[in-house]
Amino acid sequence: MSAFPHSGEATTPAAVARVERARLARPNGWWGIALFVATEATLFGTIIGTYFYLRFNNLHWPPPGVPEPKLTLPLVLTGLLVATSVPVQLAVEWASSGLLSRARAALLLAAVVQAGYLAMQLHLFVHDVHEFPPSGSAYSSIYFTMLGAHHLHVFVGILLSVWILLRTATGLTGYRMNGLRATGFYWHFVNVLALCVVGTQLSPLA
Amino acid sequence: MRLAARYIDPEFLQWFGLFGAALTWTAQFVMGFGVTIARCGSANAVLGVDVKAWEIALMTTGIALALLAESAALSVLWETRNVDYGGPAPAGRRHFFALAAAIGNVLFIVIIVLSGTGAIVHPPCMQS
Repeated sequence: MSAFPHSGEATTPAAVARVERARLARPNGWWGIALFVATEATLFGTIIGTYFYLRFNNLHWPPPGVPEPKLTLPLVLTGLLVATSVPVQLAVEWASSGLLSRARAALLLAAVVQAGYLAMQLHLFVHDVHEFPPSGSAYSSIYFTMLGAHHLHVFVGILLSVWILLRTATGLTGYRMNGLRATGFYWHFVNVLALCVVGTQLSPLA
Repeated sequence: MRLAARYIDPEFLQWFGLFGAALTWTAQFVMGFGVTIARCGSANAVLGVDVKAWEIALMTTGIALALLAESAALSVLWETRNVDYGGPAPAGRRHFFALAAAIGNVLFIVIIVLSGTGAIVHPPCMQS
């Protein structure tokens, strides 16, 4: 049995590590983010479903005049983004062991790569908008809806990472540990989404 | 079954046993719907979708995954056989979920077989 009946009473890295070792069930914050992820998965399920519904009802996909999606750069960028699941998970593991400095360094590394990914993707997004605007066809409409929604989720994830980094600058508490765990869960979900989105985006090349 | 419970995290076995078959049926249903839309849409002139082949593949994969989920539920049920379903967590909770899953999964296996068979037998792209 932990010396802290409530995880919120753990206000040092060592105390957080003791609480984490004694924990029998996942914290409520984890279940909250799990429900949030379920609703977001539904949103992307409908977007990807719409993409394929439109694709199956159009003989030419992409339509004439719209270039086929590029293969290499989206794959490389997605690979980089998915790789950040490693430092994010390490940050969670190290923080739950009381190793706050290491955890913050791993989270910072992940946030920098994620910000680079988003900057590059936004550049490509703006380039594509100029080349084939969303109002031009059903293809461009669903293409930009899907990519825009995913970029927005990456942006929210970066905000969460920065928020956790700022909050843990003054130390680790049970509450912040729960926040870090929830942020980690969200990032893994966004990375799985990235694979689904890039797979859908590149499906015309198959 | 005892081997599975020894080498696989019992928490994973419990959740896979509870939701595995249900999610498998959901996937079979959604993907089967997509295959039919692809077959009956104008893009089929290029894609050439074979509904029967897809439905057979989806049904056999679905049955295999649902049977795995049932095995997971039964292994948890066996490992917690000396615990009452109202007993203390985590064993009592696992026993309760495993009991519900072992019964529910049978229904999902039947649903997967019936919906797959119906989709294979029924000619596509026409109202019944």
